[in-house]
Amino acid sequence: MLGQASEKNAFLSELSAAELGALRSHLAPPELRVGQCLHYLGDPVEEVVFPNSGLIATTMPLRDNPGAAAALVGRDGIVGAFPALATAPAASDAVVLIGGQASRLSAVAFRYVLDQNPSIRRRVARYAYAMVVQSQQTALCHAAHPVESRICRWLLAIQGRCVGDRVPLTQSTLAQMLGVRRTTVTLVAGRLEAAGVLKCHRGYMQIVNQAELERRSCECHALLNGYVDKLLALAGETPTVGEVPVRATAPERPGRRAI
Amino acid sequence: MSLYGSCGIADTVGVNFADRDQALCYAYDVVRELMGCREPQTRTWRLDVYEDHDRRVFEIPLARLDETLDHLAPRWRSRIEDLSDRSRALLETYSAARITMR
Repeated sequence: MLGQASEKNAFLSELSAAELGALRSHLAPPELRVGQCLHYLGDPVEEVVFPNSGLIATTMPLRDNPGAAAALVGRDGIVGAFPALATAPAASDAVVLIGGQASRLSAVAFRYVLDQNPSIRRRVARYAYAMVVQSQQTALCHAAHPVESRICRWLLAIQGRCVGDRVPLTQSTLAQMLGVRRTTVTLVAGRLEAAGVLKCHRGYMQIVNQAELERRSCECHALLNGYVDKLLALAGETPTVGEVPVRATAPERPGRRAI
Repeated sequence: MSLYGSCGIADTVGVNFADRDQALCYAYDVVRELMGCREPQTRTWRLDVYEDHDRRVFEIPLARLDETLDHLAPRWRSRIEDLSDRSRALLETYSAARITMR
């Protein structure tokens, strides 16, 4: 049933009964198919999607290849919220990597509901900001961390959004997400398998030693999880009148006047 | 392609190329991706390229493509590459010896 399905998405699960009621009449349940593109870079975003299962990657396509993934969205997030709210063209493609179920509503209905409900708008802003933070961390990770650590990080990120110890992606797909050659992923996966961390199967990888995978991952996974957990824990807080913070005087920096 | 460090890891699937030059370019890209941001740890590795899974056509010591060594005079660079090759051979011998002891 739609009501039960919508509770599986983390954002929709957090809403109060009144808030969910405001959205419910606009929600429809689509199926997410592997390879489906929810929106393309530069196109208007027609729908906002709340995944209940499955995995979507926001990717930045290049002229001569599909590009790399900037962020992952599973049941922990929302696809298309930021551009729909801003009535702006999509800043990336949104591609379904693992199929599943979702709830969706039109961008027009989404903007209407948020205009009528400031509390929902604030929650959406935090979830959208979590995606920005993830994209920032990914950009740094691509530039600064070796490919083996990055692969471990993405495996943890994907497995954290799926059920069980399986990562149901091919090595080709993982290579595309990381912007590297498939052979590179195969050789790194082979090293991880030889070390007893993974088992590689046709069409999926199975995590055998989670603790060792975390040890070999770069710091981005833990940093991002810690920050986003804190960010979304604030989603329920409502600012009250009289608590507007007063800005302290900034120390003077060379060449700049104190404000 | 097969990667050699302390043990051998093979890509048994392979990639199709029109000619050996394209295969070599691809192999160089793989080497750079494997080395990136951890050059000292990977300098002792070697990537072998096989044709039709059985005939070795290229051996690429990763130290040869290590850009963090570009500032060195050629003879020093050559010594580091030679040392990396010897270290890999030692690691492979050690690994093989450990297997026989089990």
